[in-house]
Amino acid sequence: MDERQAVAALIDRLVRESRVGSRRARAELRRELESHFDEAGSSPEALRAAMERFGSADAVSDGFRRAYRRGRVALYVAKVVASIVASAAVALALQAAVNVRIGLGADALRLAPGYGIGARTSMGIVLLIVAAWELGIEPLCARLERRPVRLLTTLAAFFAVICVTHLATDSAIAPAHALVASAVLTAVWTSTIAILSRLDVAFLNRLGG
Amino acid sequence: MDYDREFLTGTVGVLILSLLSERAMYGYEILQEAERRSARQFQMKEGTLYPALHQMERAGLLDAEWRESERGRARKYYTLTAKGRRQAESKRRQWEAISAAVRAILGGAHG
Repeated sequence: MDERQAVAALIDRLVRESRVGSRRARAELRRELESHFDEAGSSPEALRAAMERFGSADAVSDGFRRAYRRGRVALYVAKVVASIVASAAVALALQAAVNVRIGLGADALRLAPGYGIGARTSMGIVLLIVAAWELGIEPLCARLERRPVRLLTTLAAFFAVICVTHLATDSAIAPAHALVASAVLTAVWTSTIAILSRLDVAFLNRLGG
Repeated sequence: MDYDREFLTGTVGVLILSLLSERAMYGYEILQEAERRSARQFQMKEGTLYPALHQMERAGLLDAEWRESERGRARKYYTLTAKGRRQAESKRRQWEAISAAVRAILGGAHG
């Protein structure tokens, strides 16, 4: 690797490790560092000396990370909020889809009485999964659609919980209804993880250059 | 000369504010100017300047803009904001007071 390539590699590393949140700020940082080494000279000796004077890449990128920490925290908070909002919207839409009742007259379109409890349970699942995802609790963060056994286990677990809850409260539920409710909760779980996964990629892309 | 890192903590900020209170400068120019005025006694690791500049820009002490030199080279010039100017003045006063006190103590120790 010649000196020019070494400088380019150093700049790449600094920009990547600085974890600057916005693409524009990263491009500007790169331009500024390139400008710095341009000023230092173009001969191999001048570039080698400039790299020596520049100091440790670890220390410099650590300095940039500290300088941009506030922006990074804001971006992370925005990601978590976006995850909750998007997952909750999908969950409510799924619950509405299975609980909508079509009739005649003034009540042509209404939600079944079960919508309220279904929506609250879905919100609980969304918050649980988002918390597990951010805390890195692996068993709760698997992509269920890619693991059929775990998907079926989750569905069965929801089914069991719904049946036991209804038995305990002396309110009957038809097995078919319990199965549909379990399927919706499993779909909420799966969609929440899919949303979290996509937003994480977007977040890391924004930080990574 | 290589300085104890402890001595330099906080010094970089004072130097940047002080130099920029005179005119707009770009990063490399700040380094050159600090080195020239200290008769090459002050040579910091150049990379440490840029995080400090970015930190100060984000804190609202500096404004930055890209300008082109006569030779067509793009340079990012930094200038003090009003807040930066107040900070520069305050830091300069603090630095002078501390340095006078340290000189008096060191002078006493030698005398």
